[in-house]
Amino acid sequence: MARYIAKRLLQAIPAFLIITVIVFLLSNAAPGSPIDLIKSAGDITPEAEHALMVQYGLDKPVVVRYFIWLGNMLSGDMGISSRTQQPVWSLISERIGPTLVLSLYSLLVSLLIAIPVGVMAALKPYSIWDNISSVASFVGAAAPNFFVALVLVYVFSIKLGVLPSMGMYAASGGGGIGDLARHLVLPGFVMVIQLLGTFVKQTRGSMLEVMNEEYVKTARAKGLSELRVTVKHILRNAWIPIVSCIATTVPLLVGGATVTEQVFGWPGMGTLLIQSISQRDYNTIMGITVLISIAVLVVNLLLDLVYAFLDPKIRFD
Amino acid sequence: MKTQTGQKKKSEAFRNFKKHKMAMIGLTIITLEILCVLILPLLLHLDPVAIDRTAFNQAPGQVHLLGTDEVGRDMFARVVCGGQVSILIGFAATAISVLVGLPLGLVAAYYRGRAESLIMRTADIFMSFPAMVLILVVVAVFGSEIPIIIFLIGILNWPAIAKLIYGNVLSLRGREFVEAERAIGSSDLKIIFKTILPNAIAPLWVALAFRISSAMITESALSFLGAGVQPPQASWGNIIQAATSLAVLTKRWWIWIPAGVCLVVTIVCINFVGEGIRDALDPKMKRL
Repeated sequence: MARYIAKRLLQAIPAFLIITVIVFLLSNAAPGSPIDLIKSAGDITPEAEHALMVQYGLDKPVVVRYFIWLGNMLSGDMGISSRTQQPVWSLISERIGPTLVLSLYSLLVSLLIAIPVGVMAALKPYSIWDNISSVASFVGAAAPNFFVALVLVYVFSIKLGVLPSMGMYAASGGGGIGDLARHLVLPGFVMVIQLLGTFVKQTRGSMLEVMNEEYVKTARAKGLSELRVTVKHILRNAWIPIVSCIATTVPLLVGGATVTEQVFGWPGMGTLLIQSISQRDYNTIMGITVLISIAVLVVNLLLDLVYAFLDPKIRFD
Repeated sequence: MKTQTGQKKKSEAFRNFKKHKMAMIGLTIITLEILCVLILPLLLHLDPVAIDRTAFNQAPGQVHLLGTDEVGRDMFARVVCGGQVSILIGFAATAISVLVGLPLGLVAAYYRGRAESLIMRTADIFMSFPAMVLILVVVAVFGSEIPIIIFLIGILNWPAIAKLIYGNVLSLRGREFVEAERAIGSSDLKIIFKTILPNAIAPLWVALAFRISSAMITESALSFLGAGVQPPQASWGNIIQAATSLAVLTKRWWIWIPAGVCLVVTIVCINFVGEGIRDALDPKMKRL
């Protein structure tokens, strides 16, 4: 197992480096450096400009800058945001919580709905569950999240006035878990319909695959109860592909959250990314991108390990 | 013999497809829609950026079928011309994914070895990263002209196509008829193009439909975030963006609802066509 973990860790490193190099080169190729922005606000002397270049480290070649930056980052220093003059890490760190709350909530809710529905749909073909599962996977693939979000805001926040449409807590006298729960309903719903389809389809599919296995027939023939067969024999084997399916939605969670966060003014990393891009705040763009790629790689790695733990065949491959 | 059974399979799939009611309705709507966005602008001289100074924020009426926006642009013209852009991006981006993904998937599965691990590892890296974030960063650097958007969406979707082709070719390359072809000394090129490709391509048609609709969703989300097609040029996504203003959202439904409805209808119809093709190619798969 230790060897397997080491092997997977080593495989993750090139992926991480490739992504950081690409993003680093991109944000450096950008027209309109932070210096240009400061210059456009008022005239500055060439000396002051040079001082700024040195301050931002822009006087060095790109390759050197990449390694300096990578070194800094690995020691926890992501630089200063050219937009707010705060350390990037402090900007990002206050955004991690809200993004995690929104994505974990959506992930949990969609799994809690998707797994029972998928199981029922596989057990009872042509039933209402089966119909729900096809509708869910169809809607999940066809709904543009920002439009759904706007329609929800229109109906529930404006016409009916029952749910808040902006932010994470009410501005006046907010706080508390109840307030958060109310603010989570709409953005959470938008993310859940995107995830639900994938999960339902996967659960149903892998259930169907396992259901025809010989050992399931044997379990039934032994006279075990239907519930016991479903939980102990089918689901136990069917949920391995479901775990890997969760991994494939990690990019969707992060990418989809960008749009959802923006519409609902959710104070997460997505809104920070869009603000930073519009202000060409390189350090923050890089910080977010690196953090996201680390998150994606770590989640994939963890799921791989769960996978290997569940299915010994993989470990010894 | 082989071509005969191939023909039979094809015509059978075609018959199955025609029996799929939703797919036929979807196909009809898509066809009509494409004709509309191509012909109407020429026929009615629609100009999506023309400004009518006598009508700002006007509700739908006789002169402006779908009303006007805050600077007096005709919303009907914008929705039709925006459709042209959105549909173009969906199809063109998918074409790029196929042009890149098909050969790479084919090479990886046919030659195996180093090419395989290099290509499939790269595909994994591409797939593990949120496309939306990467596109946002690239667009911030290189600008968001339509060709750049098409290229980006296309290039970021190649792994899906490559993996599909890879899986199919892998299962085909060990089959008897491929072995037979190799035994009689056919060249690799001949085996790939004459024997493997025609048999591996069927699932691609299904994937194409879903790729087109997902490319359209990506484009519209980008334009909605202000990082896609730039105003004054219209696309369904940037038309809907107007609704982020509370006044438009609550009081001027004609500015954002029609574009949104068009987008949803188009995507739903394309996906119906995809489902129809899937069921037609493999009736057994219907329940999966």
